[in-house]
Amino acid sequence: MNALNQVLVDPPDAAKLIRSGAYLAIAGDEAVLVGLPKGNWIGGTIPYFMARDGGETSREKVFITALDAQGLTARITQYDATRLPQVCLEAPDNGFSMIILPAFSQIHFEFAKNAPMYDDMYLKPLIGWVSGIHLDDMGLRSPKVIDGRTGELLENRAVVLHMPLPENISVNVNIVNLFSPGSGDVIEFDDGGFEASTCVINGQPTPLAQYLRAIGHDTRLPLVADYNGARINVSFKSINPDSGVITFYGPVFPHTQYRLAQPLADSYETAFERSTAELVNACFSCNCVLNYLYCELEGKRTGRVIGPMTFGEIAYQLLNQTAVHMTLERH
Amino acid sequence: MKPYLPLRTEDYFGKAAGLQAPWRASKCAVNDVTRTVHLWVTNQAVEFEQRHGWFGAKTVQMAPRQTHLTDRHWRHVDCMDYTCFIHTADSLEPADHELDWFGPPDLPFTKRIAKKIFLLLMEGTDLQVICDIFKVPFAELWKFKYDLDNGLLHFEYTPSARRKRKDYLPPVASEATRLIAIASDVQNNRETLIGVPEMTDPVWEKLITGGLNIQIKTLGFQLLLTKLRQQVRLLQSADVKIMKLRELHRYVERHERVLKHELAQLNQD
Repeated sequence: MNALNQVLVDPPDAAKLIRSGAYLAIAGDEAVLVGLPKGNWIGGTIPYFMARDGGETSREKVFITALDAQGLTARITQYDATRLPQVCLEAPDNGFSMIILPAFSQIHFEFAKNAPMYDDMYLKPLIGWVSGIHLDDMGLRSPKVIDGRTGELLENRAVVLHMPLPENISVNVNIVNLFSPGSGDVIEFDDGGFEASTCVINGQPTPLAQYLRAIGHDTRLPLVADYNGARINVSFKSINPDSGVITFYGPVFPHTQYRLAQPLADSYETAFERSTAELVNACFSCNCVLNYLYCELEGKRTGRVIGPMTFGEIAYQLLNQTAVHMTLERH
Repeated sequence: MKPYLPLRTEDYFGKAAGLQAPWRASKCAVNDVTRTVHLWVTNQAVEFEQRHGWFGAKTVQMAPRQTHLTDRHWRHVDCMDYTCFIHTADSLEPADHELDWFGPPDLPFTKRIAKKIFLLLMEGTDLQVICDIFKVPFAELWKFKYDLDNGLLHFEYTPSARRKRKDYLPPVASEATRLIAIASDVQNNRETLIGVPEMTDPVWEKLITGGLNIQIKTLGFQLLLTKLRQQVRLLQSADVKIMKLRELHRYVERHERVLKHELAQLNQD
């Protein structure tokens, strides 16, 4: 059911798989992706991967997730920001939808802010990731997604593979978040968004940058909110020391209580291995590029959770510094 | 003395659109290509002037003065097969936006059509079906529902007889029904003991308001409940809360086979 269907390969092997007619999600460098044959696949640009042999940065290889349609026919669709709120309504009644969004685009921000409000959100499994670029290419190139049917590269659209499944199969979407809220202050925001200068700490309006400086917070540790048992992160992107404006990799939401994450007791890979010991092989998984960079995962393994190391992970809504893991269960 | 003037086409359209004095239709345009009717509405009193021509004096109705720089318009209920838009160039007071033939400044629908859409949403009609019925773009409908969900819009809802039967059973009757069902399950089939409580069961209200906390293992359920609780905290309207309860119930019903752990706790309450 959850076969070993995720693999880092060279482009000729990817081309062979595409020509077999399989439904695929492919992550790789833009130059490699555009050279692949047309077929039933969606893709996104990213050169960071967690392979079975460990973390790897490659502009030559592509990471393939083969999605088993169980004999049914999947559908690939492009969405612009106007149509994106329909994504779950158009999802199969039983099955899942895999979405790839280009980072820093309007559609990325639209999804990040509004996905929880989409109709049928949470009712039907939506998983996927946000494409990115090599950090050396910042300012030179932009993250893109690709519609494998046409080979079209898209900077401001989402590509979605809607995968129906037989009625006797259900989908389990899980996350692995090693960060847990510390015992510090409760932080809230009056307004949601990707940036903030002030917040409310224990009921008092407070400049957030000043607060973080005063407590000496390591901004590699995210804000964490408890969503009825699910720990959801918001990662820090930058702090402007002059204006005091803080930007985040995902939006903060109003009426949500956050706490700063506590430091990990072990190394990331040890902690990750322990938390994923009982997980079965996924039919899809991905992890965050910030975990890859901050925890220096190049060459290191993270248990059974492999996949692209992305600029945002999607398990229904946008996540940061979190691994997403999807399995299928036959009833 | 007010001169007698026969009703003009726009006056008939004004009546059909539900306008009430002092509001009146000042102009209408019918586009056969786009199959749309455009009706301009004003509350300026009718002004007349005497015009002298070759065949004597004639009383004519003057066009209303332009009082607002931009023409604003809202989608109204259809006029048979034609899509209807209400326009105005008048400056509107906040209370004017509550009139049935106008809508809030940032809403594309008139209040009349919004009430109809709200009714369909409350009756559980699929969004895509509503789009088809009213021929409205999905994005506009989604924004409307977003505002409803976040307490930015408020409408009254009188449930249909069918919906009343389905959702509005008195809690005591519902509880009794549930106990009878459980008793019979004990005798017949223990498996159904962890079935989904009926929509009318008070357990859903407790769960959505935070009066009941259970351990949830399923990510989708954790995220959905967090969203619904936040929305319910913000909502002024009991009607929209029912919509949220239905959303919660629908989720659990749909995912019953993977929610055994959660359902066991709900049925214990």
